[in-house]
Amino acid sequence: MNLFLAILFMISPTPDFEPGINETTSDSVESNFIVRSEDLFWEIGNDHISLDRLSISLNDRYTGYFGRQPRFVVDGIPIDVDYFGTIHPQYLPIALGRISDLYYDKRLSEISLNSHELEEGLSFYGSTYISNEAGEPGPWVYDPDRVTPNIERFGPGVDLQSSYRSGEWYAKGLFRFHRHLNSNLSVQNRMKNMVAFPETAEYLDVESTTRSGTMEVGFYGENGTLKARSVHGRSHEFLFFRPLGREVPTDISLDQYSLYGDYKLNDSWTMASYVQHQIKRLDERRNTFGHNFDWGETRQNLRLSAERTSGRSAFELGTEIYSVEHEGDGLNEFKKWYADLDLSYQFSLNDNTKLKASPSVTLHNETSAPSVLLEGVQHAGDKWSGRLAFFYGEELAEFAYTSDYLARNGFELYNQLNIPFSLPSMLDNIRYGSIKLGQNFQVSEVLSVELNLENIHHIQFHIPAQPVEYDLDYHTFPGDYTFDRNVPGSRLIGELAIDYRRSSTLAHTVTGSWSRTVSSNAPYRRYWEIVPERIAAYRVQWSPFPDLEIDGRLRYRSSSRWRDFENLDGEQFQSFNTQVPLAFGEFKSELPSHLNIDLNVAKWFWDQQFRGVVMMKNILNREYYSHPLAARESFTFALKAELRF
Amino acid sequence: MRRIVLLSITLFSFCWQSGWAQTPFETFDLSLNGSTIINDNALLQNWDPTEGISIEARSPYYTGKLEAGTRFVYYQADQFEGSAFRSIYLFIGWSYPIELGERFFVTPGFRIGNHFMWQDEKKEYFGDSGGSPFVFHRNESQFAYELQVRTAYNFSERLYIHLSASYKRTPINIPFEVAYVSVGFARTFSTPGWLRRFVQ
Repeated sequence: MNLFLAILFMISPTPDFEPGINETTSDSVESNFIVRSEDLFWEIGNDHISLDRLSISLNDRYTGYFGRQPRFVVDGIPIDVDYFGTIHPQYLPIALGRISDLYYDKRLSEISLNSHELEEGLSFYGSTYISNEAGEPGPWVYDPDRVTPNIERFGPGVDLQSSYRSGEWYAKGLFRFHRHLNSNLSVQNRMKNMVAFPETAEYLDVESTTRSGTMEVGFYGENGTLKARSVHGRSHEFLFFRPLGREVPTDISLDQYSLYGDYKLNDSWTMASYVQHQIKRLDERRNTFGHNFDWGETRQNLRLSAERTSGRSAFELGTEIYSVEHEGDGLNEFKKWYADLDLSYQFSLNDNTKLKASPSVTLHNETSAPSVLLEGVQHAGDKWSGRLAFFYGEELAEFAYTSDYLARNGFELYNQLNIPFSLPSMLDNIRYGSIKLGQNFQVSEVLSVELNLENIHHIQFHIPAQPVEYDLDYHTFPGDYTFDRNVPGSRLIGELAIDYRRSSTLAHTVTGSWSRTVSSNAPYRRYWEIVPERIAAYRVQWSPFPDLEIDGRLRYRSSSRWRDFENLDGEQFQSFNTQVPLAFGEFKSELPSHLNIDLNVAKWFWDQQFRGVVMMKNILNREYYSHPLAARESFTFALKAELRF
Repeated sequence: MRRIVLLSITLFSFCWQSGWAQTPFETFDLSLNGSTIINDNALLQNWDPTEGISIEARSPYYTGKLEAGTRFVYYQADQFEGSAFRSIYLFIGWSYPIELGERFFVTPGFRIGNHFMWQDEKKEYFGDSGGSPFVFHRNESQFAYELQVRTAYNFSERLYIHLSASYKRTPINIPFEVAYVSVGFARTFSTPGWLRRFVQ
């Protein structure tokens, strides 16, 4: 490892090129090597878990993996791709290779993605990738003594985008497709038990496929923007449902219709608004248990906002009114209305001091969830800035724990899935406060260092708990699902970021975070034990020649402990093909620390209209998994081709 | 794998630091090679490989040479009936020629690519109690990498012969490792304008 780092730092800076291929800069460094949706989450820095590499649960640091999940905003229009605590980013209406920048608002848990500006006239972008993972049996399938099961097949994935722009008007269409044969040894038996009908010798497909399409038309005027977007997604998947302790074969769908507009009234005032209609559904995918979510959510949003900027201040006032209607067995006309009010005001006391205040509140019937952010930034010349922020936030429990909220209100899902549960009759808002101190040092023109220390205090937090049990036939089944209510606790989080750019063609980035639970409350400690205490990453981006890009990444994640899965410790999982000699693995509730090294190399062709990318992930070939029941990822090789004109 | 990556990066960084004076993609070499496998292991005791044939293209890059090509080998079944398979290795690579004499070069390099294994028949396993068999895919592909040292003798500016030794590893569950000795000849062409525009 030391040798690897030494070599990378030893490389001298490349002279800045004037290659006549300036479009290289239009691909931000963040988007160059985003191949799988999961790569998006590595970019934003917060830790996440994934059972199948397709769906993600993000730790937003305030509510953990099982609290609120982030909302996405794609080119200014929000989209909700969260299904009972797991995000399905394959429905995002943006081609991964066309992301120009990515911004994550930690406090709001909002991920903003912006795409490249469209070219004048007709343009096209297409990308496809294939991948394979080390460990296939190869020719040894013929030797009964040496044969091993086939392992995971992730991909192919395709993004196709076509657009036409004529002056201020544009139209674009996007199609995304992904296929995944989830046959990792650690999930094989669970899958088999869900989709096999031995009495009729039927073994259904364990493949997951997702398709999504987007149509958008818009107008970018001098004083305003208007755009209309329609998004549709359909997939056959295995949705990991946490209270069940295993996957549920599910057909997932999403339909969203949005209209967005903003208008600049004068040099100071801008008005913006959007209206949305979104339907999310979970339907039956044939399985041996007869599992069927049969759930739907229809949401209608209307937002209005006004923004005023002047020399030393900026002010924004917004309101959003929305209705959320759930459909499901046991839910009758379950429609609720909500209203958000938010205000943001920032001003500069002088050239070196800036202050910001952002209060907001969510209103629902007689309940409300207020929050407020107070932040001050002090600069001392160009070399240093300090930041102090206070935050108090509340969150409606029905948004953080949606399935529990619905179950308490009559949704029969837990009963149908045979999940024994004992839920409180009501859950109060989650309430927490935070103090954050940040320092930014611009050591030189090429080196910057950022340090942050944050103390999060949960005044009132709810901890879900559920032992997962082992069964030879089913592998895993749910124990009693309970909640510890109104649990207080504190966490301390430290962060470090170093950015070193010796030239425009060579950049090093080091990031690290350290978190610790400082509360002695046992359920609280147990909940946060599943989050690794230490996470570190190093990245080098190097373009030694005008048409060549090299991207190397090291990631370290310390161990984590999942006490809900202790009953599985030492139990075996196995391959499901009884005709072939069985292969075994062992469940572990304590996940080992992991060092991951990825290396990506990209070569441009045809005046930057075509790019071939070779990706080697997890070079050390040590099994990586972020959840005791997750697929275990080994060395993976992927090829990606991109075409744009 | 870790050692290979470190070695490759070290080799590339040192060669790169030596500067680049050549015009990238000005010419390209088209090479035809024959190869034979010289090592021995469990896989090679159960399958009998034929001689291999490969076609390769090489072109000067800013430093060293970029190359791409394919090698075909047929593995005949020795032990398991119906288990013969065709091996096709599609690769890209980079190498760095070092001049040892006026006409004599030695060229270390590496290649990475996809190793396709197409079996003659699908392997089916039946359980003890009968029923449906489990059928393995007939086609399989896996990442592979190869380290190579090539010696070349130039007959003229446009024609050279070469002798190579290489080691290729495919990380299937039981690693598929082979060592080749190859001979071949190559012809150098001026890169047509359209091709040069494409690769740049």
